[in-house]
Order: sequence, then C-alpha cells, then structure tokens
Amino acid sequence: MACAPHVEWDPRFAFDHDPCGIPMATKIENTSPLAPCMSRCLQGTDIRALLKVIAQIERDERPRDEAIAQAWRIVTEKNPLPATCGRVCPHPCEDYCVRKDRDGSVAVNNIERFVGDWGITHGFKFTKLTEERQPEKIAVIGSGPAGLSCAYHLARRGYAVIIFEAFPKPGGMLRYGIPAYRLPRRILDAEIGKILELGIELHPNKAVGKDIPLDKIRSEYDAVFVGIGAQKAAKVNCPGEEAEGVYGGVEFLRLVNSGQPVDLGKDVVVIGGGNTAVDAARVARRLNASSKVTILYRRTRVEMPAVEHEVEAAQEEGVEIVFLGAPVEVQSENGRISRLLCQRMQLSDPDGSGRRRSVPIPGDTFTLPADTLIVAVSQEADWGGLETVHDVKSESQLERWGFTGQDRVFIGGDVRELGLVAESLLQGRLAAEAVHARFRHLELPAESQPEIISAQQLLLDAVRSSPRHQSVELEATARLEQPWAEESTTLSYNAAVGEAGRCISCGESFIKSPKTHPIHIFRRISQIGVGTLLFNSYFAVFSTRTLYGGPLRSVCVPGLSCHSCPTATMGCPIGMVQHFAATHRIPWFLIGFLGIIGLLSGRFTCGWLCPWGLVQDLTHRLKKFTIRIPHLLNYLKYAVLIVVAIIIPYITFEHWFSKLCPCGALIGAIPWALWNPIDPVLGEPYIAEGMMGFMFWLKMWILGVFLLLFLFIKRPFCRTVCPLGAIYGLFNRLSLVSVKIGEGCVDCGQCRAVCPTDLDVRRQANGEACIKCLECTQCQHIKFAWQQFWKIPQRARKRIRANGQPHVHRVPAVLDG
Amino acid sequence: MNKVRLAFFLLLSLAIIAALVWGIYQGHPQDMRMEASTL
Repeated sequence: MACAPHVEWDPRFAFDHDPCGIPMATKIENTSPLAPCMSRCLQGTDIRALLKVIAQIERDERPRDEAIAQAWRIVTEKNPLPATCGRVCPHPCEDYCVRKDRDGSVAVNNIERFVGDWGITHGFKFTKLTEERQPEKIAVIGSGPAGLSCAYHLARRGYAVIIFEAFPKPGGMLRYGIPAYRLPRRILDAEIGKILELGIELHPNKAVGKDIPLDKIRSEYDAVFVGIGAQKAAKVNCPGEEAEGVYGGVEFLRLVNSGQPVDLGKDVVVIGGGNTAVDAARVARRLNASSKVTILYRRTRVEMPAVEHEVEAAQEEGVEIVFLGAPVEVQSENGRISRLLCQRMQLSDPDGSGRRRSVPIPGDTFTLPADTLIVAVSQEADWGGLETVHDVKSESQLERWGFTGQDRVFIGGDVRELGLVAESLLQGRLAAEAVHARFRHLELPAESQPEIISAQQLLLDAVRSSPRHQSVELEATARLEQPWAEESTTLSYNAAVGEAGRCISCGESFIKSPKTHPIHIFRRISQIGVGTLLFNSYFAVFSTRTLYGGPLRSVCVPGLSCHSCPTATMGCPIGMVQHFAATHRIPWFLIGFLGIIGLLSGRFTCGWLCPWGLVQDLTHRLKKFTIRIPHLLNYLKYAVLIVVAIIIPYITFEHWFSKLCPCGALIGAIPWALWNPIDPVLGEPYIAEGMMGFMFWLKMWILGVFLLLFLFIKRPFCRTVCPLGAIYGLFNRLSLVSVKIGEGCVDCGQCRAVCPTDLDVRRQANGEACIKCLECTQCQHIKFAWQQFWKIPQRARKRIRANGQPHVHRVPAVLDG
Repeated sequence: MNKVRLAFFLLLSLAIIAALVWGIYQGHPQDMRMEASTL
C-alpha cells in the first residue's frame, strides 16, 4: 500500500454519536484548535483525549481496566482495529508531533497498539450505539479494512450487515498482504472476531461478480458497499515477464500468507520501492535463509516511498537495494527466469513541479542473476464482474463519502485509490455514514478547515525534556532465526502511561499571546499604577524637599518599597520589623497588619503590588536565557528574615537589612544622591561631600549584582532573599486568594514559561514561593479560586501528605504490567 | 468541612486581629510614623 495524502477531517462533527434520527452533524463542545498530530491522523482519532486518559490513570487513582476501556472506546469510536493499526500504520501523526525535534515524538502508534492489545487480552467488547434494528440490509463486498470498517459502523447503528469475502478468511490485504511478523494473525483474528460479534454475517469464498452476480446482490440488499481492494499486481511490461518464477508482489505475498509453498531459488530480485516491495523482499529473505535478495528501484533512497523503518529493517536483514536501475528484459532458461537485464537510470533536473524524473543512461545496462522475480511496482483492483461500479465511480461528485453514481452502491478502500490501512478504514467509515444518512434522511456534514495549532504558538521552552519510551525490537539475526515471530513488543503498562504523559495536549493546553493577555496587562497596571505610583505619590517633595510625614506614615506599604524614597507616603514593613527589633519590642500592630494581608491574599501583594517585584519582572524581559535555581534556595529568605531583619538589629540596634537593601538603594539612595536638594531647615545640601562612603558603595554593588541576576534568573530576590515574601509565604497555603488546577491539566509545563518565579506550577502553585500573580491562569486548566482552607477535601490532603505536593503524576514502579 | 482546620483558621484570624488592636493600643502606628519620616 502506498503512502496516502492528507485527508481533511473535522472533529467538530461528532456524527458517530447520533445514530438514529438525530442530525449526525452535531457540534461537539471542544472547540480547541486541532493538535498537529490530530490534523494528520487519517482516521480522525481524538489523540489528545486518548493520551490524556492513559496519562492520568495513576494521578486520578482510576482502576486500570476502567481507564483503559475508556481509552479503547475513544479509539474504537472511529477505528475498530486499534491493535492492528498500532502495528501497521506508518503513523504520520508522529511526524507532526511538536516534540519530534526536541526529545522525540510521542509514541502515539505504540500507545494505540497497547490499548488495542489490552482490549484483546481483557476481552473488551464493542457495543452498539442503539438497540433498535434498522430495517435495511447492507451487503459489504470484501472484508479488508474498508469493508470491515463499513460493516462495523453500520452494525453499530443497528443495520443487518452481510460481508461477502472472496478468500477463505476475512482481513483482505491485512491477512494476505501484510506478513505475520508485522501483524500476528492472532491479533487480526481477535479484532475481526470482535467486529463480527456485533452480529455481522460473514460469507467466505464468495466472490461477488464471479460466484454471485452484482445485480442479484443489489436486488436482495438495500445498499452495497464495494471494498474489494487492489489484489492484482501491475506489470512492468518488459519482454519475458511471462516466464516461470515471475510473481506479482501482492500475488507472492498472498501465496506465502496463505501457507502455499513458493520455490524461490537462490537469487531473488524484487522490483519496486514501495511497502509491498519491501515486504516481499523481507518475506523472501525469511523463506530462504541462504538466498540473496535484491530490490531494484529506479530512483534513489530519497524518493523511495516505503516506510523508512521498514527499509532499514530490510537492509539489516541482508536485503540489498540497487538504486537507479530499471528492468529491461527478463531472460529465461528452459522457460524459467535466470537473469534480469537492467537499465542504469539517472535523475533528471527538476521539472516545473520540482519532481525529478528517472531517465535512462543510454547504453549503460547491467544484469542481475534471478531465480525469482517479484514485480511490486503497483497494484490494481480485480474488477471481474463489478465493471459497472468501476465505470461510474469517477463520475461521482461525492466521492469522499463513497458514492458511486449508482443508487445505493458505495465504494471505498484500495479499490478506489491505493492508500494506507488507516485511509481504507476512514473510507469505510465515511461510506457507512453516507449509507446511514441515505436511509435515515440525514444531511452529511460539510467539509471544513479547523484551526490547527502550530509549534510556534506553544511555549515549548518550558516543557520538561523526557525521553521517548520505545518498544523492544528483535535484532536482525533473531528476526531471521524466528522468521514469523513478531518483530517488536507492545509497551508495558508503565511505559505506556509514562509515554502518554509526554503529550502536552497541543491546542487544548496552551497560552496564547502571554504578553497581551488581560491578566498580564491588569497586573502591570496594578504594579505600576498602584504599587509604584500610588504608594509613592508624595510629589510635593519637589517643592518641600523633605519626606512626607503625614498620617499615612502610620501604616506600611504592603510590598517592599523604601520609605526613604523621595515620594514615599508610607513606611517599609521590613524597616518597621527592624525598628521594633532594634528597640526590643514586639511589633503587635505590624503582626496584625501583615497577618491580615497574608490571610486574605498570601503573596498576592508580591505579584501585583510590589515595585521591587516589578523591577525584577521588567529586567528579566531583557533576558537571553533563563537560569533555574534549586528549589531549596527558596527557604533562604526565612534565614534572612530571622537573622538579618530581626536578630542582628536586636543585637546591634542598627537596621542592617535596610543598610544593604538593593531596593532601598535604587529608589531611596540613588534619587537622593542624584538630586541632593538643599535642606529647607539647615540650608545645606542633604548629602554633604564625603558622606557617600563605604556603605553607600557597598549598597550600590549589591544593587548591581542583583540587577545582573535579574537578567538571567526569574525574581531571585523574591524567591531567596525577601523577608517580606517570607512572612507572606507563611500564609500562602491558608489564604483566600489561590489558583486551582483543573483535572484536565496534562502537566505540559507551559505555565512555567509565564510564571514570574519560574515555578513548576502544577506542583508548586499556592506554595510558599508562589506569588499568586495569576499569570498561570492564562491556561484554561488553571483557574483563580477563593480557597477555603478548611474545606480542602480529605482525599487531596492525603495526596498532599503522601507526595509532598498535591496532584503529582507519578507511576509507582511496582505497577509494571 | 474539616472542623480542626476551621478552628485553626478562626483562632489565627482572631489572634491577628487581637495583635492589631493591641498594637494600636500600644501606640505603634505613631511610633512607625516617627520612624518612617526620617531619612
């Protein structure tokens, strides 16, 4: 099967959920932009929902079976063959994962396989969408992925479905095309068995068009779906192709997969560069360990359409690939192929479309010894008896839905256009929707262009790096020793949960334009307008040249703001703490004042009002990069509070914190030093020559160091030094103002990018270092909340005690499944 | 609702308000005003 182009899909039309009489095109509530992976999933699987359910099993303490059953239902809503697709789909979704170039795409395919396998081993059953039986009988011709998908979706809607299959067993190309080492038959049988359990009748060895005329089927059934696949190999049309020992690619695979003997001889040549060619070569290698298998491809490795992983595996197994070669003549001895004459090719210059054609180099030929030749250049449908469908199919204007132009005849899968298994499944489903709409008189949804989130819109720098969980693959020698054993393993439970946890739910959890978000703008207005200008609004100082000494000085500003600032109207709380310590008194009023602020809002002041916090925020905007500091340093500020702001002033009677405070240096010392007005009482400059001694310059040096730190570290002063932050931090877990992290959070970490204190928000929100700036509430999963400390549920508290932090996503090692 | 937590929160609130009132009674605001008005 060849690579397929992208198929448009609009998840907003969840028509699967409304089987009987309700308009199918019902909009679902989730209007988040599509994740890149979902935009490339041919079947439209809700990958985000699937991974979220798996990732949160342990966090939500859900029974595994219940959670994985939910995940299984999410997948099987569209795709009845998750274990199969998890093995054979080349997963274009993973190519578009935003983690691909960082630490590897999320292994969506492996997780789908894990869920599918779990469904098989735990006996999950499909359920019908309705118990009502529809009066119509539908014939499905062909039991490949398209036919199975169509039958599944119709049966779930209550239709009586009968499948006619030309071969002895169902599965089509899945069974007769894909080798068992890629798709074990027990998996295929189990998944097909589940579909048939919906009440679908299977009539094997019945080729419609040959054994039964199509007209008879049409007259006996209300609708017909034609999904006969492309079972006939295309020829390369070179002389001698009719010789014995020349097989078509699909024909060869069908013989092997049917258990029929094939005499390959010593030298096998496979023509083609697609997946069928690579499968044929690998199968040939397994059939005869001493054989030499060569793939002949007329272009180069870059143009080869086969899945890269498969090509690499073939080369590991000893398959040789001859590029830039095309067959010219099959040379025979005694009627059996003996050699293949080949033409050396070269790539032309790009044409108007940018494509480089393969053109022969005149006179440059070579010969490959060949006991067997497998022609796997393409394949086509065997229309025997169904030509009437073939003749009209291209006239349809509604081909997407499988309409053929003939009333009540629908078509899908490889017979329509060669594609991936996933594409055949999609076409089968769409045809089922069209059949359902036809008989229930429903309108089919229009195609739309949903918004797709791009990596540039995400704050990926803050996403924690986490390596991809790989399934274990057999070595090449082991693969050849056990030729039909499955070549890779399914992820373990732990690995699947860990891998699903790597998904950052693109499009659902993201922060759009953080610098223009209202919460950010309001915060800046508050920091500048209230915390900086309003609390320092004594502009009369420029005429009086003395500090304000009015009644407002009886209280403190709630943030760290120097009372020596020329325009200051209130005191500095830490200055007052030192004052009372130095005078050996307990600051009862200050305790009450700061306690009330703390109880109401915790460190909210630090985020919304503190001018020194504003300086740190603005300085860090000039950053080139951010350095993360150990969390332990956050507790240093308690030592600063106790030692520098209380004990040392108590002993020395001096305000040592104020003497060294960089905030005081910036908004107190520097303005006075630069302005240095004449004292209106003394008639002399405030700062006489020689007064700016060692302490002044020490303070300037400390200020310089901190300004430098602000460039590279988010709010280092608030987190490690600020004694006021230490006081408020004591109240942070009790205070009314808080943020609440919703159950939908997938721990993507993007909130960290907008957190001014560089917190791991999911684990440290409302902790002593959280300044309650609410910037993280830009994510839809984090909300502002009035916390009622006394109402925290028992379960959450237990989790806090057990893990140290609430809602920690952690997979216990003992749970390996 | 956790009654122990509620009691703790109420007692803490009460203690803080009591400290504030006691501080006002002690004349701390006036003292702070004197201190904050010095350069």
